[in-house]
Amino acid sequence: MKKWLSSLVPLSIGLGIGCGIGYFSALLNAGAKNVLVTSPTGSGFQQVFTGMGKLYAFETLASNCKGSSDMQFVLGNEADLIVKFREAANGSGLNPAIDVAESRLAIRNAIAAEAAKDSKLQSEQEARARKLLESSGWRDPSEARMRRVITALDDEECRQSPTARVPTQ
Amino acid sequence: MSTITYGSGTDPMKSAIRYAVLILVGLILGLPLGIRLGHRTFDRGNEMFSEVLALSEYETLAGIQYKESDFPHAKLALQDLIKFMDEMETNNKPELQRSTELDRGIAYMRLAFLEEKAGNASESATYIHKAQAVLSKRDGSEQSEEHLREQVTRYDRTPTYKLPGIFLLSRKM
Repeated sequence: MKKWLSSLVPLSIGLGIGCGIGYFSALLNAGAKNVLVTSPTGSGFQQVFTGMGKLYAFETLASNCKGSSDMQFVLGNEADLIVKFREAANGSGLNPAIDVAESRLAIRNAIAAEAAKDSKLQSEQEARARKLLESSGWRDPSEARMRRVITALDDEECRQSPTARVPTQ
Repeated sequence: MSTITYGSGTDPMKSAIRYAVLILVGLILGLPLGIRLGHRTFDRGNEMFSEVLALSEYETLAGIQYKESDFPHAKLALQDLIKFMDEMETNNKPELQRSTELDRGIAYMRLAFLEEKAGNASESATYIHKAQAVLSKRDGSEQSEEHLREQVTRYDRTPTYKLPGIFLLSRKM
């Protein structure tokens, strides 16, 4: 009985350690597959899927519900993502509204330029947004219309957030 | 040469080896158990999280186009959204099936509204039938055309760009 018990203790210790290592490695593996971490690879669909997930994450940060986002960092990364995303979508057989996403980004950049009193950059970004909205078939392709859409999107995002929105614009 | 034994009569070296082997055996047995348990715990949640993020953005962009653009662009955006949902299913991403079916049904109704406004009555009727079929597949209930029209018209009046299935899920996250 004593010998049997003395065998059970090290076996249980080993089982516990093994289980812990396995559980932790499964956690790491799951984390590595998350769209926020993984880079867009694989089939055309998979690349669009990953790109869309990342775009949503950047837009959530750009909504700045807590008032603590580093907007320059967020908008810069979103711009890089849209370039890659456009390439990925080309061969996917899907036709996501990337021009709308890019014009939304242009207006966000224009808002940031306005806050920095850089009127040249602001008008450049607004002109870019207008051009993209015209090609997207908008009935009203003005920058004012996209600003209203962004306000609605940010309100929608911040309503979902447990923290009240801090106005930044 | 004689072996040193202690009170219990066991060689401590042998005991240590025995314990080490038993720990190793436990470790080998525990590893796959832990991996399996971890996959069951994290994979589903992780898959769902990724799907909600990707579909949220796709629905948002399609929703913006539906509300802001002309007929051909709005139609293209909604058809493309349905294609994306179809691809999600064929690429083994079915975690959100019930929510996706609801949103797909609404996307079909929106297509029906667009076709109706463009004067294409038969295309509109086809999309309404598709919406009814999708929503019936979701919960087995038969939804009348009038009820669907009322519900989708009411939803279209809200300032929300995401469709309700994903909107509710993303609020929970």
